[in-house]
Amino acid sequence: MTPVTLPRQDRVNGGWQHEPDETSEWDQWLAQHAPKLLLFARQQARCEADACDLVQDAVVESWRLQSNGSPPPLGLVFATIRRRAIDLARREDRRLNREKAAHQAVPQDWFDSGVEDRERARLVQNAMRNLPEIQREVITLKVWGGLTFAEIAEALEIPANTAASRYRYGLEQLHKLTKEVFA
Amino acid sequence: MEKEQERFESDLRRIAPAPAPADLMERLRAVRNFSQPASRPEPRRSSGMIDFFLGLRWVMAATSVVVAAILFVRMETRPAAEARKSSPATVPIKANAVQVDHALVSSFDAVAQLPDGEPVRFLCRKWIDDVVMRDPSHGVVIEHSSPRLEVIPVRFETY
Repeated sequence: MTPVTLPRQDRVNGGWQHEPDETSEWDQWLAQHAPKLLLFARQQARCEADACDLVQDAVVESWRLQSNGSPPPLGLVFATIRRRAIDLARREDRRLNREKAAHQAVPQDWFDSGVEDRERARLVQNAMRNLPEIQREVITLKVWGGLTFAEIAEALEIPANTAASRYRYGLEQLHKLTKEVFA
Repeated sequence: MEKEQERFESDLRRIAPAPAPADLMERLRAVRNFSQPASRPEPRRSSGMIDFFLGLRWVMAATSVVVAAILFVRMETRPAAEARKSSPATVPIKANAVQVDHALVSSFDAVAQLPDGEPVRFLCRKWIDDVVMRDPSHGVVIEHSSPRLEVIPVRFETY
């Protein structure tokens, strides 16, 4: 029996109904990029709740800027996360709450790994924590965010050459710190 | 050195970021369902009549701009043209011959005392100011008279 595709009545009374392919595109985009965004947000925020809020706010804000309703460029979302994180850090009351929460909260794992890689992931996370923030954010955006230096420069509002040099120095430093696990 | 760095980068990439918690994913999915971009385009209408009126809208806007431009140009050129055509009757009165006269009516002195007892003299003069304005071309004469009192305090000299 041949399946019959019925026409959908998606736009009723001028209202916008989401097409199934758009929804699946959105779900795919989220599945692919949400972990990267959260990894970056976790490094920018001091507690898990703030990191999740940063991701949500940045995704909403970036997506609203897209005139065609398509998922936003990843660089824009990273840049928005960073800006919102700076705003958050400037709010004194939020800072105090966050510091309290940071003392109480269980440290979140930045990386996903099986049992055999758990130790390696933990060492990389610790090494990343020991890097200067300016190097850590460039490495995160390049290695796990998949951005180019031009995109990183735009997201962090720095020259592309600066992004490249921070990446190079940061990667050398990270390599030294994790030599035992990547030998 | 370059190869070593590339190998290290690929080793790092093999460690994937931790998955986002389920509740965050739900929140992000809800974002898609409950909000939409402000500038999202309307679904395109395919009615021929509507397209015609949409086109007409631009024609009307362009026409109004052209009419406004013509009116502006006419207003700019009109004063010069009308000045050439206008009759002498419409020319405003010119106050070429103006005569001003001050006539002294009276002059007298008055004496008063300040609160501390010091005497003060007031030199008082009463004037009539006359202004006469003529425009021979129109045969117009305008006269105006107004009284004016001038008071000048003069301190007494004390020895």
